Amino acid sequence: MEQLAQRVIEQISKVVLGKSREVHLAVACLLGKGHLLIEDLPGMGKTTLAQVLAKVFGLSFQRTQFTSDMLPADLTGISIFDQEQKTFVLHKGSIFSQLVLADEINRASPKTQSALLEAMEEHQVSIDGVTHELPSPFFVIATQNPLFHSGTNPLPESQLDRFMMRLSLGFPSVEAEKQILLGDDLKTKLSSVETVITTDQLSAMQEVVATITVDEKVLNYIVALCQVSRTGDFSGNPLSPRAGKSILAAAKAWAFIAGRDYLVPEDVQAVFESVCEHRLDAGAFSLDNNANLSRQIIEQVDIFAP
Amino acid sequence: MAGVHANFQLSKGDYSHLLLTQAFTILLFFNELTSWMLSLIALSILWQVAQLAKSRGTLALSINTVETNESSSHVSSYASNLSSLGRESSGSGVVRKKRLPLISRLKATPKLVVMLFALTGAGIIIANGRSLGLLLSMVHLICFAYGIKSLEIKSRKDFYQLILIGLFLQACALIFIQSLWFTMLVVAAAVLNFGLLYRYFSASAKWKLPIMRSAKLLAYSVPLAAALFVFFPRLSPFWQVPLAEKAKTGLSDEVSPGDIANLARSDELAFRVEFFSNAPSKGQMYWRAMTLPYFDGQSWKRSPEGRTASYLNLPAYISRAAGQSYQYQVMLEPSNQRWLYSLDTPFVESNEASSSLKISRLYDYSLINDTPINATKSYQVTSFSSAVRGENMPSSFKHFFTNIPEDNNPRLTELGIELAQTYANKRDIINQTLIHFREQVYFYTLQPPLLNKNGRSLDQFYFDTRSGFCEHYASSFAFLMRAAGIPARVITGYLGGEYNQQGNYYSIYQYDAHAWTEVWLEDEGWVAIDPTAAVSPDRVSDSMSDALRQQRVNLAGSFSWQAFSSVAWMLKIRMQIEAIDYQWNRFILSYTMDKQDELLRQLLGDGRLWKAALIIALTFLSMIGLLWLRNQWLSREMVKTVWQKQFKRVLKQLNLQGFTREQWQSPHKLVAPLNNAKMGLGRQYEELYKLYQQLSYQPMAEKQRDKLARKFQKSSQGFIKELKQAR
Repeated sequence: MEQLAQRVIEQISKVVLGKSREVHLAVACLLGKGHLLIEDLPGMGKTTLAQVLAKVFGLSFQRTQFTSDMLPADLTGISIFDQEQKTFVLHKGSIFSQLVLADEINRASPKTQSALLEAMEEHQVSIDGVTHELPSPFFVIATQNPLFHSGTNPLPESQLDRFMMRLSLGFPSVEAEKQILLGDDLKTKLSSVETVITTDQLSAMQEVVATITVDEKVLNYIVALCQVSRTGDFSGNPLSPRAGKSILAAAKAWAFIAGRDYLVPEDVQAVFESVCEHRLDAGAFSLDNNANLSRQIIEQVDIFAP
Repeated sequence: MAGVHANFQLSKGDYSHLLLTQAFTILLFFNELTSWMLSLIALSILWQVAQLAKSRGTLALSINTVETNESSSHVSSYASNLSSLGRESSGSGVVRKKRLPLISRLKATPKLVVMLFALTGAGIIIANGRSLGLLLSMVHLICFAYGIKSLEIKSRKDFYQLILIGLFLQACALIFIQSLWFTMLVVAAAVLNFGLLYRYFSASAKWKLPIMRSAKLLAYSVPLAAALFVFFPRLSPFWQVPLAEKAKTGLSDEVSPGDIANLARSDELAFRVEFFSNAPSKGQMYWRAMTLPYFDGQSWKRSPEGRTASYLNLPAYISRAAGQSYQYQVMLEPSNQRWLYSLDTPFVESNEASSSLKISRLYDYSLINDTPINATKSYQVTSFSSAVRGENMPSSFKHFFTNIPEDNNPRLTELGIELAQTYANKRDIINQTLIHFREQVYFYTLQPPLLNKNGRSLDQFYFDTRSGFCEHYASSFAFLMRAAGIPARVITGYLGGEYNQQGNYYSIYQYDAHAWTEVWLEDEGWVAIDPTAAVSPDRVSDSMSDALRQQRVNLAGSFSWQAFSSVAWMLKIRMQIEAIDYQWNRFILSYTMDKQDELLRQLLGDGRLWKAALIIALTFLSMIGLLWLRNQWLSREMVKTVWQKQFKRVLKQLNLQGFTREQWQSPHKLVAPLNNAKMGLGRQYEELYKLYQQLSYQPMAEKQRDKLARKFQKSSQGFIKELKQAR
């Protein structure tokens, strides 16, 4: 099953060039049943990553471009009166798919953002007082532009917390960029990507990930990391227990991809920044890479004796 | 001078421990050593104690002067001690963690003093050698060597020798005394001795730890010792240690008035009896030891002076077994005599000559062993209470048993003749005499007036003093019967016994010694008559009167447990202690070659020798196996924690070579730099770290973990080695 994960990553890497680590993290996030926030400048391949993820996992996929005038109903769906049947018929919105790509989420109004985030947490939406289950598995991959860009509404901390990871793809390396320049257009590339995994297999993998054993030493390490964020010396937001849970789930998925059935502290370190940076920093000074808060935390904990 | 042996030193604590062990071990031989030897050894030990007390000052001096005065031999020896200590602890596997200030070396005893001790001791042994005999001389020699060897401990070898001699001596002590209590003392000495060894190798200055450890060690050896005890072949008598000739105790083979009174002063144990069936009442327990058919005018004897009477070799008369039968086991205390004790008419089954005794039954139904009893032994007997003995005695024997010397105790002789004329029935003569004893004024006392030794003593007792105890009555009664023409003889032995409820056995003490008579009647054979019973029914009855007991106790003199018999709980304690002692005798000391043979036969059937060998071998193997398992377990426990330390060692070594990492960083970080710097080591290190991670975080079975831990240890050691070489 680990090979399956490797094959997934292989497929993605065909399209997203030179971003092995980010690809691994994105897959780990999905295997850990978390939602993914991709933050970067326009044109860095955010959407490409989301699309290729959907394709590889063989999930039903809807892309929604968030705009400032978007209403929640545009996302969730709307009941329209059917003249012939004389009843209201629900026209489901883009959220009723297994993978929802919410492009430029921070351009939508807080109201719409909230509708999405509620769905992310509850795995269900309420339309006209009727609760509708969302399909399973259900992922949201949201992309956002850096907050200093014009026309953005920053996500509040409480809502950022719902994303397991926040990734930045960053600029490609010289080699990768040359390949991108010379390569096929995106559409061709996407079509070359094979769907290597069924939905059932994905669920099975998620199950395996959840059962990965965690030694107490690793748990201690995670707790110690969280504790550091809560001490007075630390300038960022403290990490919540939910953040801890996310760390654990992501680390487990990381270990799974690495082919292990047990967790090591290195797994935690690998996912820590992606899982925690947006929670610590709360977006206000995002992309201010000089203040790498998660790194500050990691550097304060002995990997052997937390 | 100290250069050769410089790397050996004992701390002050070691020395005191050694001296204590010596003193303790020597004291085990308190009874065996002559007072000269004891005092000489005590002198030697005291000398060393004095040296030890002085040694602190000497040491301080040597530390002060160690820099300045190199020429002093003492100081230079101390200095070389210091330097060699470092060498020793790093070089050899044995690391002695002695605190330096405590290290002291007794100033070497002047050769002259050692010489003086040695010569004096040799002189004492030579002077006493003849009277001591071989065994005791040897014991003296080795005790003496043990006592003065500590004067010249120069090297570890000498120290080991002392410990070994100590062990040997502790084993030797058991030659002389084997009682439970003494054995406990010997074990204590052994514990002390092993503790000394432990103490020497541990850094502990405390007393408790070495002793506890050595006791634990000895406890470990108990199963093996038990198996060896049961199964290891006993040595044949040829190999046994020659025992010193010892004073005989108990009954002597002649009775003249006054002998038993001396015996009555002794509260020593004579023997113990356990009944397998019902026991007769105490008043019926006449333990026969021997019959005394020969009267020489003064005392009753087994045979005429100077020669062994031919009748002693006669076989027992055929007798008809009748009456109640009693089965019992007699456990003898060493008496250095050949007598065995039995009730009435004993039968020792021939196949039951299984004990190491060689019992024969004499013409008079007494039992005798072929060699003196010099150790605790036991035998089984069946007795019949009213067997008819010797009813068809030849007339020549009748003559022998009525024989009295001429012109001896004329008044009694006359009385006898008179009685014979008065009463036709011999029963009447006996009864009349007993009635006389009972109705006239006769006293039973253990302190009778002295009698003349002029061949008139029985007359004097019977007609004049009229106070005496069993042997007076038995002697005069037998004499009178003979004078009246009735075959009679005096029997000695013991009467009664003390019942021990805890152990369900009877103890018969020396003060239970008794003398009575047997007379021969037509058709009835030999009949036991106890004239003492006519005078003092108390002596015979079940409950001995307190007054009499008190009298005996007073006679016994010195302190004895018996004196407290009247205090109930004291009595109980004494009984309990004796019961334990009894079990010890019964199961441990009397486990002889024959018993072993019997047990093995029962357990193993035929071919028991090789089976016993097999069992011993198996015991050995299982002991070794157990120890191995324990070691495995210990080392597994070690491995559990050791691999973490080992990995830290690896990291430290890497750090030393410039491959550094921060505390928070994964050790995996070092793989790349290692790969860049050293051929192949990065890969090896990566493997190592993977193993470490598995050990740390992967859930797995204990067994697998141990295996991994071992693998880890091996490869980490290999890695460190290669790392060092690559430098």
